[in-house]
Amino acid sequence: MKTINKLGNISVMALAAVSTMSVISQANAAELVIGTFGGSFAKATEACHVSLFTKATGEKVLLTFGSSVQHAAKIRATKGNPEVDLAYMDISIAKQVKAEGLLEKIDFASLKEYGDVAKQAFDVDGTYVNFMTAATVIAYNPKVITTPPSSWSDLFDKKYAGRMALGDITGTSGLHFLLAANKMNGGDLNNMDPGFKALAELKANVEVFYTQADQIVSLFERGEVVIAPWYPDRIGSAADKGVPVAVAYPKEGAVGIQPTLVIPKGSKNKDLAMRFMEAVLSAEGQACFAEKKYAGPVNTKVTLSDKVSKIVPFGDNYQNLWYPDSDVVAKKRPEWTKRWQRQVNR
Amino acid sequence: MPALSIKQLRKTYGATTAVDSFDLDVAEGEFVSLLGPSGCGKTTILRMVAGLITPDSGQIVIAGKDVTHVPVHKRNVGLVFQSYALFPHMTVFDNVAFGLRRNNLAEDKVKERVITVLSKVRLEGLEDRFPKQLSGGQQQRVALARAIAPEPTILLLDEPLSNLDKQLRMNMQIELKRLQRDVGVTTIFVTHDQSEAMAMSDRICVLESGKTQQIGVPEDLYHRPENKFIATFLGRSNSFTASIGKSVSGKLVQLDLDEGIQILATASDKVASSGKVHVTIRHETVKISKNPPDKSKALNRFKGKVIYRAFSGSIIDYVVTLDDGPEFLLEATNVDGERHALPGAEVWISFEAGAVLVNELGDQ
Amino acid sequence: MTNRLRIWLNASGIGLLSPLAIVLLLAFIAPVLIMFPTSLHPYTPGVGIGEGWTLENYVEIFSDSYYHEVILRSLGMAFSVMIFTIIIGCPLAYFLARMQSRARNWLVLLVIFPLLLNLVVRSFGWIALLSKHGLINDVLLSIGMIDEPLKLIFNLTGLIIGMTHIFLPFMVLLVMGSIQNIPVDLEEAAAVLGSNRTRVFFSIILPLSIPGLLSGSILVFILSISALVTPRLLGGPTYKVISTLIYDEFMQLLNWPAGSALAFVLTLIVLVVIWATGRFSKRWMAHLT
Repeated sequence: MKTINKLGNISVMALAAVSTMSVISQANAAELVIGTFGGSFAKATEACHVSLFTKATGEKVLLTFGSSVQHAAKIRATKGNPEVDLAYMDISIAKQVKAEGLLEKIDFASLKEYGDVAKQAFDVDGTYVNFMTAATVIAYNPKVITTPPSSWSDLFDKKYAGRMALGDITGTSGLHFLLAANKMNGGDLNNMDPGFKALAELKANVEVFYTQADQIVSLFERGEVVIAPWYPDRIGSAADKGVPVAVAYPKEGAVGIQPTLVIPKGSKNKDLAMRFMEAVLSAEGQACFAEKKYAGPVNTKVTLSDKVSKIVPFGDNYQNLWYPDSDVVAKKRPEWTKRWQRQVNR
Repeated sequence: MPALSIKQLRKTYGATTAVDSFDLDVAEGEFVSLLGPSGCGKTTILRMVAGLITPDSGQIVIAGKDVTHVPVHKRNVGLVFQSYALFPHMTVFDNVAFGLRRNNLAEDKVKERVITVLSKVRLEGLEDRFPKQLSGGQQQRVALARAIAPEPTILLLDEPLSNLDKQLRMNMQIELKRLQRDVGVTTIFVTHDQSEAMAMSDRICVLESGKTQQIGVPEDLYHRPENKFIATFLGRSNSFTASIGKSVSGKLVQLDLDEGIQILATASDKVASSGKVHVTIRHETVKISKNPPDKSKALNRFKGKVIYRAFSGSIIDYVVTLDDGPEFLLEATNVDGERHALPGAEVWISFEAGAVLVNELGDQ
Repeated sequence: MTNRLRIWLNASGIGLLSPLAIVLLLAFIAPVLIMFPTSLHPYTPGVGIGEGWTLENYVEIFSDSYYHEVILRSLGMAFSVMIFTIIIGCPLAYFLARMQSRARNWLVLLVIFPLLLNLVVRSFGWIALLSKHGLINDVLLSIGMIDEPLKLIFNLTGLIIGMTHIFLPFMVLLVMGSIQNIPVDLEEAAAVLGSNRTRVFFSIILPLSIPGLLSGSILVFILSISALVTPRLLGGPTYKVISTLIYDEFMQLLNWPAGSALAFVLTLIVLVVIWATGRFSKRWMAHLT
């Protein structure tokens, strides 16, 4: 009994250690290691970017999966000797990693596709390139809400009390909705009071604050939630699977999301990584990604099908996108998170 | 009114009948043993009396009250388990007090009673020990004290001595019997050990395959077995099959053993008719001698040769092969400490006509 | 000196443990120790982890009422889950342990089944059961026990229900092991001495299954307080617990120093719980073994 108890204690401690500390996984060395996002995003990466790259260069690619922050964490932990040669990450995280001096400088002008891509997609300091446009938009159930929502203020409508969801601030959509509500109520990035006040009042109507982007799929499916800020690519994929959900772009402008590609400092395959960037930025790669993943293209030579152009930020919707200053966001996000935890989520 | 009355008790497990048409009346203060080989149903009967097993049919009456359908915790019986089943997380005191507290007795009364009972089993001063700190014999006595503390109507003992070593078992037999007399509690004792049963019981009920073979005082069972099973089950004996031969006189009858010798037995109803019978001759009734014994003293006498001798202190076991007949096993008392009749010796064996137990052959 | 060391090593039998010890050390203890210095560095958003040394991360945890609330909630949640698994698990364990039929193995498998399920499947199940239009609310509404659907998910209630569900098997298996070691004779002895079933359970079974109950309770408590995914799915961000807060610091804000500090506080809580339970069980077990 005694030994069992002791063993129990040890295993309990081990369990505790495992669950409180993150263990960094090892990737095997391959030709080119790419860190991308999981799920349907990974499938699209494989089908559009990797196949194109492999066709052009004949080189093999190993994909590893994670969120922007997980990639950033990995780059930080393996400082100067990275496991990944190229990573997909959100612009705010890319800026954070850039500030920590963990990214390679890239001569963007030497990229084959440089001329075709909108100039604002490239970092002026040459560390990241924004390869697609996404946004935080309004997702709604078209069976229940017959008149599509047209404004962020529709989410504040009392008739959706208990039937709406918001993203937590730890996810992009939560942050963006906070910023949009703040702006709508007269605030700016240096004065977030109106935003927090609006959300503190809205809190009572919220059925769930989601932390995982796909968490609300089943809620839309079961009709428990009929309206929520979400992402066009997720909405498009869910609608393709028969979930009753559609995209609405608010008239105040959807909040833009800029996923980027970065090359960590010390990458041993920098040239190959740049060839991969070319594949991602090529008209073919961009069109493929737009059709498969509802990603707004940055390559100006791309044309889209009608269906896709209604979902992705395109045309007027694209012109209307609002990009909060990601430098300020990166700096203030921890502070806002704390405030959110205390005022919205308490 | 009997303290315990069992009528037509029956219990089956699937196709096996554990207990069949069992009847038993036990008088107030009587000590009755249920004796039999393992699987004979004796423990099942005991557990049905305790209420731990529900009978298929039949009736159990304790002190005039039909308890057949009374749940176990309301029967007020005492049960001592083979394993003792002491509560390991309780002290000796709490173990003994367990049943008393269930009767909602005031705590000072509980204490008084526990002390009394512990002194009866000679365990004074061990109240605060835990069972693990006691010897086997002490644990045995705690189990006994715990069972008698709430003054049960009947005390049920399930092979309580079988986990003790031989020496201790003898002492506990005496102690248990004395305690039982002293307390005067009606007791049912389950055992597979016949000498234990005979030494302690007022009456013994021998069971086989769920059926009563014979109930009676130990002497009746041993000397006047009602059937072949009892005759061979109790004591150590030589078994033969024989045909009833001619009547020698009014009192004696000749039996022709299948092994080819003739012996004389006392006439009775069982040997009145002709045909095949079963013959039992106990080891200790067969005498061994160097010279032919006086015919007047032993009606049955045969010459033979010793083929085995085992000395075990007070008694000596022999195996003798008759010159023109079967082997006989016998038991002689060690009287002079000499090495008589070693293997190979020519000897005579003899036994009385009254030592020949004759029973129906039954099914072979 | 080396000789004495060798003698000690042989006598203590600790050498037998060394492969396991090395694995444990490398896989679990080393990373923990490596992280400790991290928790003592400052962090500036937009710049990164500073070079200097500071206790600020710990000071903040101990001075900010928000953290107190989260820590208390975590403790309360883990404690409730523990209590519920005991209340549901003990009778279940007793039933399974004393079952004679061959169906027992299947029923045990059924108890373990939630552990074998993929988390996504499990959480869909929870939503189907617990949401506003889920099975439980539908049934309660239709039999008229409630007028308004109960909020059973995305709050503390949902969190406790979900955690109790997934951690119940640990409790059942450990307590069942303990109960199987209790001879049936003891129960029968207590019954013969006048105890009904409830009394037998509380006076014999429960005290004697304390070893399993304690192991089960520690395990469930620690699994609950350190669980991450279930709280994120079922509790939502409104009902933050320490583990989700650590996750946010690490994975959303990149503030490793603050995350490490929180992780150490959690580890400390866990160690205190194990130590206290260990002391209690030692005392209890003293006369049983």
